[in-house]
Amino acid sequence: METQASQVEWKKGSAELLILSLVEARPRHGYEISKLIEQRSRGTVRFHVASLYPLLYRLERRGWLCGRWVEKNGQRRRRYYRLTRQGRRVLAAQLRGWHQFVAGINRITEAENA
Amino acid sequence: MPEWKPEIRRRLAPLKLSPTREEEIAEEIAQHLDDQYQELVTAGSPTDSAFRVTLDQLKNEELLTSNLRSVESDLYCKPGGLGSSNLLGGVLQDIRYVFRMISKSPGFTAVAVLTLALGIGANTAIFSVINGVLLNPLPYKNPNQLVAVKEHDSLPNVMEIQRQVRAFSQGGGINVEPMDYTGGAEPVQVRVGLVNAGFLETLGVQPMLGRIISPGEDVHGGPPHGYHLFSRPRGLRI
Repeated sequence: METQASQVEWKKGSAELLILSLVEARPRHGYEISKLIEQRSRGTVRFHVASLYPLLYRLERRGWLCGRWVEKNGQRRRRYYRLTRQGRRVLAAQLRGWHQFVAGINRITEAENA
Repeated sequence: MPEWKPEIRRRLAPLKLSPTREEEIAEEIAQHLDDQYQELVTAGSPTDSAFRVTLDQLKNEELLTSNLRSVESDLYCKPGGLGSSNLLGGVLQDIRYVFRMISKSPGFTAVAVLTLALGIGANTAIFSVINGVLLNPLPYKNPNQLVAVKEHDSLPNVMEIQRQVRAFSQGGGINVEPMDYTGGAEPVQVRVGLVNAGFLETLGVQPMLGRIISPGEDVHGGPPHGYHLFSRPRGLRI
């Protein structure tokens, strides 16, 4: 129970970073982002639509993502999100911070459990 | 494929979003649910089971509403949101939406545009008549019988045309141009109307002073002064 609560908090703290990372290489739509999070985390991290889309809209409002409807032949139109220049800078800063944070946590926990 | 939009719209209703924005969010989330449902069915899940699992994404009634509330209220109400400086962005989005809808049903669009065009044309024509006859009639005798023809011709040409055309009972020409009057204390530029003999009679007006030019007096060099020039305190007199 405690672990589950912690995971929720970790997920909240890393959600922006996860989404920004996934659209770094190319624009993706919401379902694709959610599937990639689930697959790459091997089911550890999942986002429901009730969390995913409000977060996408928030990142878009901040100017970190840019959403655009794209229509392809024979398919329904989809909204693709791409990383903006500002989003790219934010992602780089968040990644640096994240690595430092994880390294710090590892140093603490490893020292205590050594 | 199940219809997800009513479920989504029910959760969006308390947010009181603009219809365009609500439709956009509902479309995007419904598409996500469609994708998930389709994937489950393709993987072999029975349709009712796939439906239940997919709908679980919305099982917390309040979650979507509360998560969206902060974002959408910021987006549309605060400075910098779509409601103010990005208003143009919203308008452009709406325009794109309109064109997308138009391209989906060109027949309906054609009928609608044609109906509007005919309606507007008929209204304009009727208003032109009412405006000309009832609201702003020309201040001349029988204004409904007057026809104005603009030509860059000299008065002798106008008079020649007048002689040849028999469709009108009467006619006259006027040629207005600026001229310099040098007979006073200092030179003055005045707008002069050179008219021929039938002009004032056609309009049905009388000169304020003097009399109407008779056809025999219709010769070059005798333009009457306008009232404003006549009344200016510069010693000008006919």
